[in-house]
Amino acid sequence: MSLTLLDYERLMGQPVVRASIRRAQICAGGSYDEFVDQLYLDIDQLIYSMQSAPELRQDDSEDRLSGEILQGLRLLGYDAYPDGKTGGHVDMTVKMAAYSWLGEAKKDGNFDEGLLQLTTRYKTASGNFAHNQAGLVFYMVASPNAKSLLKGWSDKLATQNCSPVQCPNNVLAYFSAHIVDGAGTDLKVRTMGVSLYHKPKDKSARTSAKRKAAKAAAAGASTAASQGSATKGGAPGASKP
Amino acid sequence: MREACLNILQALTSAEGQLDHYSFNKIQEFAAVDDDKVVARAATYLSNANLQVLRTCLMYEYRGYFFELPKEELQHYVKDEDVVHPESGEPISKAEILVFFAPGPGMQEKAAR
Repeated sequence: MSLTLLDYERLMGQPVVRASIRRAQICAGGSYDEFVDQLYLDIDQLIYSMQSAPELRQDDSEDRLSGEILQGLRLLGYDAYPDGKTGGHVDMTVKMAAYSWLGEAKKDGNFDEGLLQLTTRYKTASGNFAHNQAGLVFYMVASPNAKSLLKGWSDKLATQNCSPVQCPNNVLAYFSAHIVDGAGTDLKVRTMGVSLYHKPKDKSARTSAKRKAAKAAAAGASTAASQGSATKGGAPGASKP
Repeated sequence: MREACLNILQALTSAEGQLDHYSFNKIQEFAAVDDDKVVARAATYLSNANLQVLRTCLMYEYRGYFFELPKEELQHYVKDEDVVHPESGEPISKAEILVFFAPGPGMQEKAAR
């Protein structure tokens, strides 16, 4: 008995099978736009997975968060790594077949700086300016309203004639149009918000916060007490001159 | 899954792995794993663009023989559009399309070395 496409989709999930075949097609001569379209679908899935457990990522650095996306992309068959040397150290360089894409990431911060890096510092990883798409990934751990923050960013881009357009696939993503310094070529940038804010206010969270605070206070008191007894005991070298 | 991948790779490089296309059952036999889901995940992973050990082939039947769907029909599939039987011109359902696995470019390069 052979496996039908219906069976295969049941085992793996339809989007997974479809994406796998699409990536193979891109490698066998697909277009740059197809590469970027699929890449954004794949990045979105990885972002959704991160957003589903923000409590685990409160202390993660920007590099650690980007590393999670890059690792996910590598498992899907992309050549994805940080710090490619493309006019500087870009946070994400992604390649598949002859195509490339750059991404700059920022955690709780400087949207403008990220965009300036993409448009004035970095060059395309392939050296081909026809590869004219790049991304900004904003990890928003401190912001309680990612949508509003991104709306402000989109409004700002509009005043700079960058024609921001809401992405139809991801509510926290926008496309905008820019010009690359030097080459003078077009650059289409996708801003992707990753909402990782996690400060629950329900009863359980309040109790847990109280317990944590009490524990911290107790630990502080016990440290102070032990330091005090060490000083009283006159441990060698413990006394200040 | 790691073990399934390694078993498939080993079987493909050995003498028994010399066919143009392998059925899912044959890949499962190579993988030496009972769980269909694990085998499907292993075959999909080995088909990824970086490895290309396998190539996933969608095939249609015509007069008792199986042929790979042409590129245009694969494009329709990835866009969630109707796939049409290249000979009859009639739409074919996913239950009529068979999935086989062929040694991919990554495997062929390895064999050439």
